[in-house]
Amino acid sequence: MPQSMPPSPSPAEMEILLARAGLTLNPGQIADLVLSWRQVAGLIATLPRERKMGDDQAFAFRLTPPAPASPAAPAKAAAGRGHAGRAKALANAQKAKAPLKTKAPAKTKARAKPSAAPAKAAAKAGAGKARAAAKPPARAKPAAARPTRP
Amino acid sequence: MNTLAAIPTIAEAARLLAARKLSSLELTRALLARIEALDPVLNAFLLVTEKPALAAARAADRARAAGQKGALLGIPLAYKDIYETAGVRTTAHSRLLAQNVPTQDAETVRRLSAAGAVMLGKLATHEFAIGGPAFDLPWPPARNPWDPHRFTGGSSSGSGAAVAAGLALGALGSDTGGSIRLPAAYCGIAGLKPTPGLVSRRGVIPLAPSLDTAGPMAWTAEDCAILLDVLAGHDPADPASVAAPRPGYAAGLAAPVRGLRVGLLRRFYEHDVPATPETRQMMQQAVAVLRDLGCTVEDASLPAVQEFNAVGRVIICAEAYAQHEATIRTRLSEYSRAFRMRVLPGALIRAAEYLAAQRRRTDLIAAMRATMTRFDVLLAPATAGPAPLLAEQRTDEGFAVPFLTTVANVAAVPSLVVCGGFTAQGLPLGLEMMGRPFEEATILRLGHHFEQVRGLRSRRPPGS
Repeated sequence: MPQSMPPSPSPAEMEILLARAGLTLNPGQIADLVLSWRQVAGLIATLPRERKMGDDQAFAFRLTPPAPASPAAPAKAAAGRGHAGRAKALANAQKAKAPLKTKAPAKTKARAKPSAAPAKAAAKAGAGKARAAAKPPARAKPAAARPTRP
Repeated sequence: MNTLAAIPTIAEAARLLAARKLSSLELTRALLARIEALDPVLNAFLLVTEKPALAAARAADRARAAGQKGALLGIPLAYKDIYETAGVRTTAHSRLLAQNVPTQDAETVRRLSAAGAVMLGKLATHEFAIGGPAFDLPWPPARNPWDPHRFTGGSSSGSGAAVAAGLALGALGSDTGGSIRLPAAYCGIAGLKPTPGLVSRRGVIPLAPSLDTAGPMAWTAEDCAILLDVLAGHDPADPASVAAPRPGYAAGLAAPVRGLRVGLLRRFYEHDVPATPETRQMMQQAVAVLRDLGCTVEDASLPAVQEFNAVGRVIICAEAYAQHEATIRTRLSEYSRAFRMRVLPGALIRAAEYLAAQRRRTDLIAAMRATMTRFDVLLAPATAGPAPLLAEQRTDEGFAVPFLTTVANVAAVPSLVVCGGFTAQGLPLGLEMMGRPFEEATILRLGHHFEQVRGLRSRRPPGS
């Protein structure tokens, strides 16, 4: 049910609210804010607020379950990256009767992959910059040249 | 050729280009000449990318000569200046981003470029797509081609003005509470706000992410369909993007509309937001046209426009403040007064109040869904009347007048605005058609048939 409109904050209350928001406003800006806040408060007052405790649809997250047709795909993709890759390295190490520290190369390899992606992206961004620089300058309209009319 | 006998639609231009009766270079040069002649008054463009546009037009002509085809190959377009463009300044019409040069294209811009479209430049907007026309920014606000003393609507103000004046054949806009459809209505063009998730928003400077949508603006519904064919599609990098089925929007336009069930939201414009007599007359004529086309038209009911607006505006205010909080704290005086008036109250909205708005939104989405079980399309005017005078725009009344268009944003349905008629003064009036989620094809088809029968698309702004 719509509630009654809350009273406008007093200057002292507004000061507290602004401090809480980390804002420093000049008197003109505060006057503007009081004016526009009054309108927003009026809108807020019309929003229904009385709901049952269990009646809450605002926090719904839709998580897509894995497709039943391809259960092997994610596991395969993860190999070499996550636990499966490490397990494989462990198995190889045990096979070679090597000490457990041989996990390290596997880990290094696993981390190297993600780091390659940003490097690639950075190279791409660089290419973009080069392309941008190579572009002929756009015909910008200087603000001063544009007359404004009231 | 630096002049055009008539401004072609995208569809007409595509046919002329395909038949080699026109080259992209000729078309681009003609539009650049129009921009040079008309834009000093209209202020639709913040930046004209003349040389890259001519280069892209030449490339499109070469590609066509080599056998490449496509409805957008060589078509000159322009983009609201919140769409990031690699190597080309993207300001959001704000001095805060006056020097901002992105390194990557927005996904939508990338798709259009890949389809061979020619970018003519970047278009005016309200600062960061909110606030209203402002005169305290580095660039003046866009003006309405039907009467330069009048407001274009916003926030995709430059997009509306550029398409209406024939400075670009199509444009990209964004719509959080009506920002594509308000300028479409006031400027007498077509504009589509898609279902959330259908068109990627990656690389579009956000306003309120839970309501933001990106979409096309053009002279006709058919042109919007052609653009949507390229724009729609899943983008894994946009968390809200949906892998929805993509029918051929343009290809589906010719299918009949007979039998479509149209719901008339009469209470919206007779009671909630009382429309002018000419707007009501436009609605009567629209209903008659749709009945002639074989549609059934019956009154439909939804919660009041004010309820949708309360939800939409609280969400926009809170989310926009969150987007800008860091900059507001340090560079507040660099924003326009219009922006500050609309966004600063977000600092005072409490979490419980924001969530009350989100909860109410779920109710309103459910109400829309229930109504849409009885109808295929819901019909309303896009605005209560024609474009107001710029001088009448009050910065301090940003939240006072509810928008009919915000209903579709809050209810998460697609919405198309087409030109529905003209006032006695010669100002356009917009007709809004809302559809079910992801049923853009239906409203585009109905809008196309309506335009064909109503016969208003040969009328251009004076001086165009």
